[in-house]
Amino acid sequence: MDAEALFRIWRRILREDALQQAVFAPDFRERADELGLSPEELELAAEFRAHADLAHWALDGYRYRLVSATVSRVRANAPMVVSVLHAHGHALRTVAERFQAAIGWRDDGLNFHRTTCDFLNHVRDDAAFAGIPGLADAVALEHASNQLLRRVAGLPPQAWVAPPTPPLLDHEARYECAPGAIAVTLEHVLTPWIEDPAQAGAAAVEPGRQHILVYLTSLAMWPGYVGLTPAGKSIFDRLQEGPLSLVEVTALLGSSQAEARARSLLIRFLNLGVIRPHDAAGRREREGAVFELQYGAHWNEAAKVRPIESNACVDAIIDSVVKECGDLAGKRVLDVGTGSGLTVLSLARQGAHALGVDISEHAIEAARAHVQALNEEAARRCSFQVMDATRLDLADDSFDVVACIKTLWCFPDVVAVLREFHRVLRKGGRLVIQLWTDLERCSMLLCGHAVVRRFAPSMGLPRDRISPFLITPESFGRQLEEAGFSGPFAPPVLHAPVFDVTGPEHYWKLYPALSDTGYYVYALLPADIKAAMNEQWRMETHAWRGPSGAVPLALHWRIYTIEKT
Amino acid sequence: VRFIAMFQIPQIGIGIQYNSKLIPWFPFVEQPLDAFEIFLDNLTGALDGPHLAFPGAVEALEPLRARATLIAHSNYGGDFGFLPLEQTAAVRRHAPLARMLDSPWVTDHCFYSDDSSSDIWSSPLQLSRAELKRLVARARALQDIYGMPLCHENAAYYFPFPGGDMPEAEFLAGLVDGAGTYLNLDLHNVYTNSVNLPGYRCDEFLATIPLDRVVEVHIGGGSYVGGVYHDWHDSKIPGPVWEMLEQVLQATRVGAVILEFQGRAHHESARVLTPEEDLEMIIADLSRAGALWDRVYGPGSRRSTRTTQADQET
Repeated sequence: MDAEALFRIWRRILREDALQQAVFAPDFRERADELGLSPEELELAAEFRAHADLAHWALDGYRYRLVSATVSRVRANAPMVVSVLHAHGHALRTVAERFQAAIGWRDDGLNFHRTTCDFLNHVRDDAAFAGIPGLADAVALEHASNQLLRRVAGLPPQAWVAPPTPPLLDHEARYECAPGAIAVTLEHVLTPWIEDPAQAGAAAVEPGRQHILVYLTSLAMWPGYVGLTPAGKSIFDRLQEGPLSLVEVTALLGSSQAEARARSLLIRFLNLGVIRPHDAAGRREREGAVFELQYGAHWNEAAKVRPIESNACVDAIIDSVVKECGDLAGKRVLDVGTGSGLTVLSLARQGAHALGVDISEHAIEAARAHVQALNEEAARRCSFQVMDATRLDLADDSFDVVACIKTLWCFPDVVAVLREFHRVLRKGGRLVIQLWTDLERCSMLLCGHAVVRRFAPSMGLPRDRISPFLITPESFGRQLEEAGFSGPFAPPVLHAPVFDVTGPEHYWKLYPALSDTGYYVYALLPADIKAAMNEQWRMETHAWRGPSGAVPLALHWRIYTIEKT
Repeated sequence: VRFIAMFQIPQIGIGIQYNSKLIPWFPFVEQPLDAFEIFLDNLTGALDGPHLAFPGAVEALEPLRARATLIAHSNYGGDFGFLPLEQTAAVRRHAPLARMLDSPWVTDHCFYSDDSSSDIWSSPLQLSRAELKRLVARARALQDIYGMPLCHENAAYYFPFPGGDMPEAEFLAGLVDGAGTYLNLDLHNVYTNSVNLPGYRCDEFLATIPLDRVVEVHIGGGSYVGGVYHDWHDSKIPGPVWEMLEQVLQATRVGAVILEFQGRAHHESARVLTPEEDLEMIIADLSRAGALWDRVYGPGSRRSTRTTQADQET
């Protein structure tokens, strides 16, 4: 008897009043149509009839816990509304129970903001609460706050968190709204409640229009509230429709001292982190130039110390990518961020004509020399070129496959790079990308990074580089769509092999496969520091060491395969 | 390439669950304890929000961490449901949070839930060979993701989920054997099932599960309401549970024994615990558990007593 099908029907019994009452009644089998049960579902539901005497405890328990959970979610995420209801004599548990009965005893699990938004909608629409001054406004404000958190869920913080220092206002630039803010207009002045949500409802609020900006600038905090003038609100609304420059904001304000006011408004928005420079083409150009200067030099230096040799980790990662490329005989394949060139070689060995590109001149020279020295037939199908992935010097629709391993997170603008991949792929061509999963799951990466960071805290990383672990399946799907690929995308394939690492010396041999930058830092450190790092590595991995003395370390990555349709 | 990690289990000692129903009044940090069991669900940031942890929640545990080991307990991970593992709260939130706590292992529950939390406790696993096969693979993958021993807690349930074809103890033995995972043996759940379910025997259960895979033991109390015995953690620990605890400690070397006190969390008929009526009861049970542990394993065998002895020697 299929457990999943049984669980689905049991969940309906937990939630649906009519089904719950009918399933233990003598005429249950005659009521299948009325209850919307198929003959198969009827049989599955009937399985629970044998336990009529004790099942009600499980049913009651579910609903009791669900109401408690709702109370707890709402208390944490809508404290102002909770205080107002309490001040007007409405017990939260009773309201939560009514809400759950109205939505069909739905269990949102740990999706707290969904529960809270729906609860707030219920309070707004329930006639029992009509006439409580300010309640509708408190509902609107806390709804916006929860909506905002739902909006930025899954986005990398770089997409919405304010920069650490306020940027200067660029007179030439146009500015766009970041996703981390929502403006709300209220019909009461809620300032006393915003200042002390726990006392909301006890203090009276006066009628009067008030504009509030709900914004989020850090993962360490909840959304903040700040007042907006009517002009500020109207400019924020216009910014949501599209980017504006200082000159355009000045023209929109159109009154005396408009430029000074426009400047002050834009600087305030910048300081709050709710707008950012737009000017996509110009920004891409500028970031490309910065990338070439800063990052190009970085990767070039890293390539100078990285050995070109295969190991178990490199093989496992490259194999997982090659497998997803399909039949490669005669195919034109591009490998972006090719580094050592070992992927290009593997692709060529499968019959592909493979081009490897990299921003590092040194990497390209070394890869070319390595492959040419091999004296094998596949080497003739390999070629290498120095190239910036944000501006590929390659024709449109010219590749059957684009592969990208251990590289995508290195770019300041991932979407710009994906757009280039989309451009050079032919219709029906395939993009194959490797990304690490969360750092916490990769004990293989975690222990090395922990050691390197202890001895070289910055790890020599360019400051604003995106962390590989911030590209999640959810955020990546959005970036692919923004770059022109059409969803729905197949879920990525997870690879999670465990490698037995015999000791630190073995580990550092594998490390170039895991982190070019980390290995670069390690390679440059003097011998006595390296000896101390070996000791530290032993300590970091002590708890995982098996009886043979080897440490089983897990490496997790996902392979995304996307067709250009 | 190996797929099952080997773990060394530290011997920690006696602890109590850091339960939100007791936090307002129970003097947790004043107890001479070795461990606090932390509900990961109370730290978790919303799955539909950007926070990994509820802002400030992990930091608030510092006073506890300074006193004793924090052990991660996952209620609502969705470990054994039907969603792809990657979409579960266990993977998206609990695994990194357990690491943040420096937890020596993590415990989970043998119930179904999918993107839901209150289903837990009402939806026990189907004890069938087909489910065993599915869950072995899932548990093994999840332990790999946690990167620490994953210990499954045996459930208390009002009726066995339909479609089962094997006893619970045999199912659990197959699960940990196949997956390379471990057990969080809840003795009060065993006792509760033996009271409510025809044919369910504590001695048979303990004789069938692999006691050498028991990393943690839960003990607690419950109440009779409506002719049924409930695992509500609202009363003192009953005699048969103490007897089983002694038997288990003598048979194997466990990492920790955790006491569960909670009060009204599962049903409106459960007792609400109060400082006036229940403080002494909880402290007495903690003290009894410590004395039993020391009698079986020796007086210097707990995290707190080991430190004291080392200090005395130096």
